[in-house]
Amino acid sequence: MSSLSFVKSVLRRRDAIVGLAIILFFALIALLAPLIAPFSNAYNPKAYFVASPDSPPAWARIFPPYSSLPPNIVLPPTPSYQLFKVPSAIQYWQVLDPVNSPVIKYSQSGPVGVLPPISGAFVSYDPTSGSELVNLTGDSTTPVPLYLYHEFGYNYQPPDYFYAQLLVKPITVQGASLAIFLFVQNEKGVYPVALFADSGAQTYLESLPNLGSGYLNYFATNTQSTLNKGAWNFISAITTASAYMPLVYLNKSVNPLLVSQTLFSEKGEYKVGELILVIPHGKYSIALQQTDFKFQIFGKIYGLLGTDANGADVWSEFVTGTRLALGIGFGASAITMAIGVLLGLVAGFFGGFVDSALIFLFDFLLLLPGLILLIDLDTIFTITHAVPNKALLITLLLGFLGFAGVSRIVRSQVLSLKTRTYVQAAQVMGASNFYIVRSHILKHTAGTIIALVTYIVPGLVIADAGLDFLGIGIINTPTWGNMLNNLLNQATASNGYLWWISLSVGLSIIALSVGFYLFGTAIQEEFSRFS
Amino acid sequence: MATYKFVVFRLINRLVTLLFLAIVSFFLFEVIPQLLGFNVAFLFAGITQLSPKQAQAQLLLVDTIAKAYGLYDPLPLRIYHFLFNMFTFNFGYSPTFKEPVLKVVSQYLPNSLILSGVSLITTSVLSIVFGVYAAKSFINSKRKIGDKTVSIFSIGTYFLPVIWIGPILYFVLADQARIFPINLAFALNCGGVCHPTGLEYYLRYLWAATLPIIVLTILGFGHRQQLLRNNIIEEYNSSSYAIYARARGIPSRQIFYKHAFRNALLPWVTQVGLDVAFLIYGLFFVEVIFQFPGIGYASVLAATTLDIPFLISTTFLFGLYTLLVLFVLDFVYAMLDPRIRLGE
Repeated sequence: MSSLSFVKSVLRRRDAIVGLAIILFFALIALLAPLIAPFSNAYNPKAYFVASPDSPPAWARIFPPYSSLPPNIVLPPTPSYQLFKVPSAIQYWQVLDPVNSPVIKYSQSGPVGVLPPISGAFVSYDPTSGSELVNLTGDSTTPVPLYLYHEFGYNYQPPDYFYAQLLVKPITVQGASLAIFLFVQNEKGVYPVALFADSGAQTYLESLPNLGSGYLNYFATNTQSTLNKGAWNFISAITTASAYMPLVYLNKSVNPLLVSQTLFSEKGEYKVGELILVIPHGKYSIALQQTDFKFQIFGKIYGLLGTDANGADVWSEFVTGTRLALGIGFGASAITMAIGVLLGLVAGFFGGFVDSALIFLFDFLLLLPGLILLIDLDTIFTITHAVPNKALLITLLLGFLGFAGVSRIVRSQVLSLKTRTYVQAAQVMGASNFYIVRSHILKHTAGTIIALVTYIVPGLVIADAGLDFLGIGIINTPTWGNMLNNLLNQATASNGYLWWISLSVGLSIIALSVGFYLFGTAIQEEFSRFS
Repeated sequence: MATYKFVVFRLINRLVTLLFLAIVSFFLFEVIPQLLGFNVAFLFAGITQLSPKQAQAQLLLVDTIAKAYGLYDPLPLRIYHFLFNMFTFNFGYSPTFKEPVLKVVSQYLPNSLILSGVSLITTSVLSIVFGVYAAKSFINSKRKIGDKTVSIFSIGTYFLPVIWIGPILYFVLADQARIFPINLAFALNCGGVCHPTGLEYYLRYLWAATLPIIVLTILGFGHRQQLLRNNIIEEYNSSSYAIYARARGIPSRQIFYKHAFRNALLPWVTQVGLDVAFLIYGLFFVEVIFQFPGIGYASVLAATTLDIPFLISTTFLFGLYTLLVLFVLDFVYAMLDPRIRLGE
């Protein structure tokens, strides 16, 4: 029997090929995880809100109920424009000046590494990069509005969330007051979603005949909305805090709880951007440092596997979960097989007291409720911090608790092999125990051992998933068990019970079990045919 | 005489195993943490971290608890006390449930027993019905469609993870279709508006227990069904007495039931016994998924809140239960099969 022809005969079987293909598919995902998962830990708050929470996968658009859900829309589309780092950034903006033509100059003179540290769930900016300078000069006594905006077509259902941010630093403001708006414009009108103004501009806005009282209210409530000269102003608007948006104070027809639904209720052309409102008293000269404008509509469909209740990427969770599942499955089965085969050989080969003692140990581990023992050990080693890494702890526990079954099977094989004539002949001829074990016993149990591995790995994968599911395994990390456990709290009728999570994880567990089963059965059958 | 010897030998064997389990859990819960520099008295007291305001009072409590549990005693005395407490069911006080452990167990255990008892009956009935049906279809039918359908379904259930199919059935049947209540508590008080008594109480209880039992049944019957089917077919086709009976001209229906089925039932009984002994595994997940307050649910709660007295006692009780079932099984075997009794 040559091992090459054995491998060939196994690979000639269709079930073995299918099983192996499934195993390799998941192994590939596990191996490539760092490359194909955008987030190494999607349960970390930093990975939240890549799109709206509970978004189905992008390919779900083929189903009618999901066909008109919006994808992620980010403006400007490229980071270099977002960061205002290139001269073309100002050209990318569409500039509209209905009153008179101020001179706008773009100069790459901003300092580097001066941005203030800002934290927030949706903020996306680069504090290490510098800013660019926009100069406005002119001569007027009527207010000069300057619109910088992006245009885009929106042909989807209304989104749940959008977010806009801008960082500005007024360097020189001479002969004028300054107010900066972020706005969304649709066919019905212009909706200001954020507003910062210096004291002169505040006075001006509050004295407007129609909207003055609204502005008065806005500035009285949002005292932080004062534009500071010579300092960075972080202007942002997010629909989760829509009560702070100026449009709520100015336009009574907008329900503060449904801002994004109201603003994007119509399909059509939209403009989003920045309005620089200059209120001059004659000759004026303004220099603005400006960087990191971003406008995002959080899509309601996302990526390969959608998002979870935190808006985190489920594909990342799935991939890192696969990596952990297979890592623990193979790691623990390596321990199980090493100990199990060794003790099985020892028990079967030496017999006597060693055998009896080991049999007691095997029976102890087999007969007692392994799950509760596992829970006990897990709890104790977790509270004492004996093992630094929870995944490692689970691997060790599963490995050390699971070997008894292997030992029993190997032992019974050894017992039957020991009575074979060729083993007895070798003994009579004075062969050493080691020689007999290596060249007779191991050789003939190899098929069983390989087949056992294929049965044990999926069992351990499911055991690990079960522990995580019960909340006593790996925590704060995406694993298959945790993903299924989160469903219990997060799945509701309104998010379709998060079918993209439960199906991907559930079918993967089933596919992996079936794959290993097919492959293992094929090996065992071919091996018994061989020997 | 031989039976008596066999039973006594097995009894001693099981008792030693139980004693060994108790000693292992003593070292696991009380000695290993101390060796790792962790004061287990904190866990017995239910204190996971000291709060700065009450540190004095907490330390005093820990000291009292340590004395009450005899944690300062020399090791042999502690082992003795621990074993004595285990075997007299003196399990101490659970910090999570704020009640004596034994009382908590007696509150939660009936729910588990109902789930496991009913599902044991349903799986057994289903496995016999479908086992016989599949075997008959295999033997009598040419295209064996009935056998193939049943077998594919049964073998398919091996690969269904309970942590997946459980939540899905819960979402579809309880949450969406509202055929079943969302959990036991809701079924028994209708969300606080009703207080059923008498027959209605039990009916509502059963209503809430149905879905967990369905899941346990679906996942539990396949293995035994296949076992029975394979054994019947093997006995019917190749056992010597079936061949002899056929040669005598006994109708095949009689051979099927009197010879093949009866003999195939013996390994099936073994499997039922083993399933009873290890029933706990499925219960843990089903109780958590359906929020059914049984012993598995309580154990998971205890594990997540680091309730050591509760874990110690459930470890011992689960061990006791399993070994008891296995012992009864030995006894049943010895009654059923003279070969075992005679030690052959």
